[in-house]
Amino acid sequence: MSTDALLLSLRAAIVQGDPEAAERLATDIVAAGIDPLRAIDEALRPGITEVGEGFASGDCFLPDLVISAQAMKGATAILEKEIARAGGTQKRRLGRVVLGTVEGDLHDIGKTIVGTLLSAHGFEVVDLGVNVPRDVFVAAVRDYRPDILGMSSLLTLTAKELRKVTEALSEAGLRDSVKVMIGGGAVTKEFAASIGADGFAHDAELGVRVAKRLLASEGSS
Amino acid sequence: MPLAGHTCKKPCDGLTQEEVERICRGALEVLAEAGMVVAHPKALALLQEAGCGVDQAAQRVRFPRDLVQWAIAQSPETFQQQARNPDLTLNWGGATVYFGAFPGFTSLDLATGERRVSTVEDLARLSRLCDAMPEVHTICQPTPHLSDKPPEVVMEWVLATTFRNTEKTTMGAAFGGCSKWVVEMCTVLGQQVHGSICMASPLTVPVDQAQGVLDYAGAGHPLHLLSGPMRGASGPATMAGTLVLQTAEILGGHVLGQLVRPGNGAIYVGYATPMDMRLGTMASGSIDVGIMGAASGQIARYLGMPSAVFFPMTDAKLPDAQASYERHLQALLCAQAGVNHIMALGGLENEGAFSPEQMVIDNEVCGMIGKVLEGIRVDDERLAVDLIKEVGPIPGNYLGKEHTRRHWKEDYFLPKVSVREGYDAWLAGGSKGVLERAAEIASRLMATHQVAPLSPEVDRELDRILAAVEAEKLGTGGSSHVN
Repeated sequence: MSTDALLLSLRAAIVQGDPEAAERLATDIVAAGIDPLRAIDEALRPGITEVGEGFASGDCFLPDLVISAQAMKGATAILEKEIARAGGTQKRRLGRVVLGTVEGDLHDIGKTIVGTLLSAHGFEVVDLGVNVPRDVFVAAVRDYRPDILGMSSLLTLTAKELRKVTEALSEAGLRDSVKVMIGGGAVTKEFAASIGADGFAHDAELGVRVAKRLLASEGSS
Repeated sequence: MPLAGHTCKKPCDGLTQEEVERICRGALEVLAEAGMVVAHPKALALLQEAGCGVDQAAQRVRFPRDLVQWAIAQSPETFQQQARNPDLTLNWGGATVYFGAFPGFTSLDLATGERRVSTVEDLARLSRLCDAMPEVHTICQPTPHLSDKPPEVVMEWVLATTFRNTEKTTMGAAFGGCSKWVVEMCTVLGQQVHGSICMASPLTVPVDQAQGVLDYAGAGHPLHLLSGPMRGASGPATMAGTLVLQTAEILGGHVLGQLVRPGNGAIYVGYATPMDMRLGTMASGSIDVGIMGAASGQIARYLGMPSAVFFPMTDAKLPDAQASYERHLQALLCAQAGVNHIMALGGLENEGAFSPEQMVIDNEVCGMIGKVLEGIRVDDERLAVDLIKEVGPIPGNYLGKEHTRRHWKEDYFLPKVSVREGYDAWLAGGSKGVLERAAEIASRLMATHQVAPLSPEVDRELDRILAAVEAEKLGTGGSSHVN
């Protein structure tokens, strides 16, 4: 396949949500000596943007979006590995978000949807999973240096954990380095304000808007 | 391919077989001993010739049981009604469930909320809205009211306007002697109507309705034989008694139709309602209307006829919560009973008024009812045992699985009107309730939905027929109003 055909096929694999094809094409692109940054810019990003726009307009749905995000994730890993091997620097995305559901809470789906939508909008997402202890959050903020830490708690019982993580971030001297946004059924606007969170949203689409707003304010400060 | 509609695989029967038989035996006894008034000389002659006892002076006809049985045996259990677009042809009978809309004779203006008798232009707009609704499989005409046409010629204008604004099949009424003109229009258009014949309860076939049987059956259009006793007033107060009367009236019309054209398609149409004994009003939204509608479907099946009900209805004056619970309970009951045609979508106020918002909401609910009829598909792929094992416990999930993407649409119903977003997103979207959302959809469709126009020749033919109607009924040279 020509360079153009490879890039178009990779983009199509993202749009159609075909993780196997996406990884295979990313490998072919590396083998063909095509600049991996170009593949990210011309295939992955426009592909996932198209899916995200389709989701926003109601033409495609969460399962499509999640599978496209999986395809993007697999292809991205292969391309970034090549960038690192060649000694290049990875291009900074729109912003980096570390996500997780707090300790004691096993609710995964809402947080996963938020993560998927954020990646579809160009964020780099590090998903720590569910039942995440506060020291793991603190370590992730230290190691990944995200722009935003997103935490979810569906249960009122575990909402207090959100406060404890922000306190732990302060104790570690990391609180000012990151915007904290929270969401989930147990969270209210008042609660978010009471723990000094920078942002709060009840659903994934609002979450993306809040994340973009937080980045803009970060840029301007 | 004819319109698929929905399929009721397992009708929910409310009556036992013995109860259905007793109702039908009662109807035959009523027809044999009390008989019916048939106010039409030619119809009387046909019935007399076939062996009915006829009192010419009283126009009273008594139907021998074997003649009624003959008529039942003649008529087909299933048949087609041709649309001019073959994809919209109806397959009447069997397990098929169709919905029909009734763009009523008064309409609620979307912009102002004003309730007014429709004009030709209103009816054109409402017919286009019904045309745009996927759950409207066929369209029924209202009884004759148009504010901008003389009463004598309204029915013909209603039909011509509907033909011009939908490719879907329509009902053909018989009021005011319109049936011969509707038949002529159908010949020009190359399509069939279901000829609606409305019995007057108790036990009377008015002259225009008898003429409708002669015209529609004579030209091979299926008959839509409707009986609507008002319980406690023009029918017995009891549901069982009114089912006897309703069945007798329908079978009386059926005999006449089969004499005109043996083997012609005929549909059993239930329209019985109770009278509210506090007010003297027709209580059309009553839950027993739905129970009677379901029973009508079962009786028709026993008689080997397709069934229809002039339901769902409501007594509500606005598209409100009452309109919804009355209409949608009735529609669900009738659909689950396997009634082949549930016909009065979009109506309020005993179907006296048509609301565009209600139409859009009914369309959505009928989609949900279709989902109810579909039921649950159980096979290896859908049982998903292997998938459940693969995903395992948390943090496994199903959102990113190909199986989800492959199957979720077939087992979900995605509403267009219902509010589904979270509270904050709903607030951000303007806090719109279901009525505002339905009104927006209706306005957009009425402004933008296109219906394939009639050819100029056919359109001119409709004008010619309308001019002939006006010349005959009004003694004028015809109207210049073309829509």
